[in-house]
Amino acid sequence: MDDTEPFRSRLTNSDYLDFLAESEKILGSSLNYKTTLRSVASLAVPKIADWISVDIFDEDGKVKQIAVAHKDPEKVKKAKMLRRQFPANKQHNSLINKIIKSKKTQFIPHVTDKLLEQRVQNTRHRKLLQSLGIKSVIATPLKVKGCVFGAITFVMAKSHRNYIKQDVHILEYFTDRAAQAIEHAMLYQESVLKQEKLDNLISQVPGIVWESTGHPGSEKEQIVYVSDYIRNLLGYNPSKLINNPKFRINLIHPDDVQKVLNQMGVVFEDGEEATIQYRAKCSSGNYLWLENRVGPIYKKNKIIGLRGVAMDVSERVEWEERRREFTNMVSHELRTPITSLNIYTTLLEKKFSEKGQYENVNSIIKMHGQINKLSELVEQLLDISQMELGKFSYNFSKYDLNKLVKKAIKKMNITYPDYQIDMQGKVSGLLIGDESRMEQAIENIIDNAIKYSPEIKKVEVILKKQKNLFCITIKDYGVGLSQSAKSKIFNKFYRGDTKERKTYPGLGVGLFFTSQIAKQHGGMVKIDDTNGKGTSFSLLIPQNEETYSSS
Amino acid sequence: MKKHIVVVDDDAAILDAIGLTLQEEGYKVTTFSRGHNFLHFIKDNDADLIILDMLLSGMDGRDITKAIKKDKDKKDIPVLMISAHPSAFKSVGISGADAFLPKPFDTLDLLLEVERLAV
Repeated sequence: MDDTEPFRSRLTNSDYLDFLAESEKILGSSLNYKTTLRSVASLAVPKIADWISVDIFDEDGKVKQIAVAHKDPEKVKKAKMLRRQFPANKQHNSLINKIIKSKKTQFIPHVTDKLLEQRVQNTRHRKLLQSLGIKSVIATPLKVKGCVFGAITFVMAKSHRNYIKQDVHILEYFTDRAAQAIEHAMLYQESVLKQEKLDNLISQVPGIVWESTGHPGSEKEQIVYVSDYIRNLLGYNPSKLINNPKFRINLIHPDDVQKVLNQMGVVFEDGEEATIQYRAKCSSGNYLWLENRVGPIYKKNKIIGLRGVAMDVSERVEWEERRREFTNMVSHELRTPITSLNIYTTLLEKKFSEKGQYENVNSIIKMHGQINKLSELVEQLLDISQMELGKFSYNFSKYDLNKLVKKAIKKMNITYPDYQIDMQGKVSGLLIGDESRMEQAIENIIDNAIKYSPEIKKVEVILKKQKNLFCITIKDYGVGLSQSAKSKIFNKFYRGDTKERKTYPGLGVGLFFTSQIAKQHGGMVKIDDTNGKGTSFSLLIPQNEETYSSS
Repeated sequence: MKKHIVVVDDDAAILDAIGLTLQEEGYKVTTFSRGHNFLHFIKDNDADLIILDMLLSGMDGRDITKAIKKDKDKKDIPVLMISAHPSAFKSVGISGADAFLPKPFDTLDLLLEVERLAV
């Protein structure tokens, strides 16, 4: 079509089809929608329109013209100047404002001078508008999911070409395609920004953030993500570990590899989070202590992988090691003078006894009892410390329970010479267990019995055996236990609920240890019913070799 | 004849207390507070039992035990190691000591072990 053609009002379908096909190609060629829309705009003129303008509304509500085209570049300059001097959104009756309000296409088949006049702000504005030669307009909204984010305006400027109703539908279709392309590009940009933001956030975490799929240690395992922090911490490029689980395993200290794989395996199979401590090798060759908090990744209720954060805990581990050393030395320091006190006391006992100085002997006996008590306290403190550090150890051997109970009672007699501790019953067969721990367990119950029986100074220790179960019952005639205390009595540090109860001495750990030791031997401690007359505990230990767990 | 027991411990009170107790029981006792003094002594002398502390302010009782057990003239002297260190039990056996008595112990425990070992 050219200027000299007689009056033709319509564009042919093939004109449109060509344009649509060509513009689809261009819109799909790149995510840079500004460039593609400019290309499409220059494609549209002069075939589909004399003027085309693509406007996007930004977050501030301003209208930004991202493309404007006309065959004549001079006219384009004029159009741009017009926009600059008379910004679109400020004009009250502008088509753009109408589109924003109604979300519908604005179709003006014949732009009359009267209509134009409505939009004129001043003489200069009129002159500019007139120079554009706007004769027929279709302005279509760029929208996605009912939300209008811009407009494409098609203008015919030659008097012999006007838009008709059929043109509206085709141009609306084109604008929808353009809208989709723009939305696509915007979403991609958004997702790139989100990813950048996330990466920045992750790089702030003072630990190695990671994700893997497949069973840890298996052929199918894949490391899918390792955060950049691994560079800081261990000196490796994250790419070295991605999809290279073997590299990751080689970083773990050989003594820790099995433990790590086992514990990660448990997380993968049971879904329970775990904190795993192990040594990892830096690029420099040194090992660091890492604490890795690991959790499962679910997909459709099935565990498909693991994720976690590994932090450097070397300082803490070293400190713990020093504390352990300290605790050991403290006990060493305390135990040494207690030993010589014990021996001197016995010596004096003997000497005074030989000389018949029985009053002195009495004092010495009391002294010895107190040294025992001191010794017991020190051992309890050490035990608490050891237990907390996971070092409460057991050494198993075969021994005679009768002899052990006698030894325990004898020791208690030294500490509490005013009390009568009766032993009843005898059991046959040897017990397999930790002799000194069992002695400790029994002594703790007797100690409790005596402490809470300040009036009636009598304790009974009864030995029984039912089939393969050894039963040591310790009975006192003291203040008894309340219902609430019965459920808490074996709790660590529990010393009773009432003010009155707290007036009795003790650290609250004796029965806790007893129950732990009983458990370690496959047995238990239970509280017997006494009809309100004092308290009775029964220590039940099976003779069966197989029930003992290794320490 | 009286049995000869040598006691080595860097703590003076322990050394004295054990020494007195053993003497009361009729043993001949020689005491040392320094490891190297003991080693010097045992080269040219004999004993029926050595009671040795593990930590000796500059020497490790386990090393001394190993040395004694390596010496073909002295390897038959029983060694009773004593210690207050909580994890001593494990390493003592490796050193070759014949028995171990953890501190704190009382006179009775000590005498039972001595009787058993100093045959």
